[in-house]
Amino acid sequence: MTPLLVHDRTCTSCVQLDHTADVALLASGPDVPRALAALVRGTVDVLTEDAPLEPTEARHVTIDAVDAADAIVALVNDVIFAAITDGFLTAELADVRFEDRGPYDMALSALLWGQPRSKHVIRDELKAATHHDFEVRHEPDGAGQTRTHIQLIIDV
Amino acid sequence: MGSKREKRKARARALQKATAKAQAAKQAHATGQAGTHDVCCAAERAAGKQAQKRIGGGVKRGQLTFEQVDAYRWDIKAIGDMQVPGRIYASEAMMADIRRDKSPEQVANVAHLPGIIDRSMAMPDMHWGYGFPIGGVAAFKRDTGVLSPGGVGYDINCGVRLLRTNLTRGDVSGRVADLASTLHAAIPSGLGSESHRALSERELDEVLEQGASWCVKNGYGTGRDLKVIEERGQMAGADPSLVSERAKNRGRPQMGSLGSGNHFAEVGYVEEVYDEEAAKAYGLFKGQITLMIHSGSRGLGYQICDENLRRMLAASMKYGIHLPDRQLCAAPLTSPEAERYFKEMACAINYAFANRQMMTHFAREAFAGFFGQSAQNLGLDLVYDVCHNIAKWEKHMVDGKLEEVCVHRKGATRAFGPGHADVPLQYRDVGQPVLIPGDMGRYSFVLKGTQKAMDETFGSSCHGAGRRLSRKKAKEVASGRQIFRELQKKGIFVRSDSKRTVAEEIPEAYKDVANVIDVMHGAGLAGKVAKLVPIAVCKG
Repeated sequence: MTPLLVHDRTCTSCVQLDHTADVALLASGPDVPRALAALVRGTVDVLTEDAPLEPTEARHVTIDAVDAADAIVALVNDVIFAAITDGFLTAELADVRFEDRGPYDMALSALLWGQPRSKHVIRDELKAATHHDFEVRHEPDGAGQTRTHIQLIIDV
Repeated sequence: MGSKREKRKARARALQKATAKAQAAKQAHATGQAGTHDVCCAAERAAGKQAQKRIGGGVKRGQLTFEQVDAYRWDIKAIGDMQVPGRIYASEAMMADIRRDKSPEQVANVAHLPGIIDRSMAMPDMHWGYGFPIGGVAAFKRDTGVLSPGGVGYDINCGVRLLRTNLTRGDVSGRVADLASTLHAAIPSGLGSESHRALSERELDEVLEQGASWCVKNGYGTGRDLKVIEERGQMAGADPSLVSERAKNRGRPQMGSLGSGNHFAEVGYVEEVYDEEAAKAYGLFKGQITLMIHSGSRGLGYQICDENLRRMLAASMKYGIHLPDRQLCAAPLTSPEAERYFKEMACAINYAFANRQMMTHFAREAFAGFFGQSAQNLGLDLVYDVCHNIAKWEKHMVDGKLEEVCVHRKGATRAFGPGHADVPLQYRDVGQPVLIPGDMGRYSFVLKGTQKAMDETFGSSCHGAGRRLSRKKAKEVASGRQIFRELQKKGIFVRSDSKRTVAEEIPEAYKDVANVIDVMHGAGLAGKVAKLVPIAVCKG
């Protein structure tokens, strides 16, 4: 079954920023779901040192959070947990949906498409995505469109 | 200033009132009293309305004013919504670096939290952390103060212990490389490392409740060990039933393992003794072989912190706590959320104590096998075990009265002075041992707690060197070099399954811990006792 790809990879990016203690990622995309997909893949790339992954199975995740920022941090933590403890490496993120259920009540659901870890070695131990300096920015891309950037720091 | 104080008091009273109202309504609702549902919701809404949903707006670097008090003390003036001033312990040379970092802003941000007493403080190894700076210390009053997981850190009860031996450098001469390999094989280390001793579900719950005591009861230590561990190796109030399955799944296979990153097991020797009386009390002498272990609560602690951060974020909004930084999320000390975090944090604290105790057992077995003598004959006794990421209730003098306050130490070590009842009897005349690891290429230090620390920093001291290079930068600096060989030429044998970790942990990645120690000693917050030099280092 082909995953429902949220994004075309060519329009997203994720780079690692310099940070004294830990790993800082800056992901970009045309919108929040695609920037989030880039962030998730960037996280797994740090774990596996950019190992090529082939999505063969899907996991549905639903996250209950205080707000969208909390939901995004929680999602990345779920991805890290899945990789290190569950042995599942996320290659693609699809079908991202945010549901605002009221004050301090946000739900995020998504499909994690990935593969078992068996063929790959985790190279870097990421402990937890943090709220520190977490940021979502929407900026003009110079071509008349808006681009979404998500900055996240992960404790090592 | 008078009206500012009045405003702060008024805010604190309003917060207390809203909290009490919400709690009373919840209690009434829980007991099923007639008509309480609407009251409950109304009270919650009232608390919510009063709760100012404010995140951000902390002090920015350009707004900070530093006042030098003396050679080692710098005060940050209280401005804006800061409840108290800040204080940084550092030399003038260090301040140049510190001012370039965001950590002074974090000191100022912590000062915004309700119920904070005296000052928001940072030790000389301070650097940028999550919410609280690493090296941060803050204490809070019971009735108006808060508990913040960011003031503890993700690696709950990351800490360090030191063991002494009867061995001298001569006893290991020519054999250090083999000793390093033996130790490396004995103590599980590295990414996702798992213990030689897997725990059942029941056993894990016992560990979470009993800490190092569980290890001793099951043959992984002695009663003497417990006497020289902070909190005697067991934090009261732990409730394993509150810990999530996910946290337990992470922790169960890992107890008795080092982990990765800056955690280590290190054989060293006492190169210098500065305080003969204290060294004698601690059982240390020049030329003596020592063993230091640095590790924490592994995946379990991280998971507990992460889950409670979410609860505390919601709690901050519920109780109207202004957060200059989300990671400072907190709940009133008397709230159900804070009580829950205390109980879960205690579980993680106990796990970490047990973790270090278990690794000590493995190390003792390794030494016994290597030298062909029992660990007892080798004198492999625990000197002390200290936490440097923790929040706990302690009695301190506040405005001339002895009061129980909640002290947060994040990347800071307890340093109780002579005469304190919590200092083990054999050390009580000289003060509590304070263990400060440096990097793997230079040295570590043993200090002693002082009365000055009790008077100024709620009995707190620094915890280490502090990083100066990012991991990315350290790998760049290490690129093309033979780090293992370089250290071996200095007489330091490093064992690690990960060259990447060793590259990230090169000595140049860290500040010189001797500078940090000089500040602590100069400020009178901790006294130098001994310098330890590494000869065999096991990294994750």
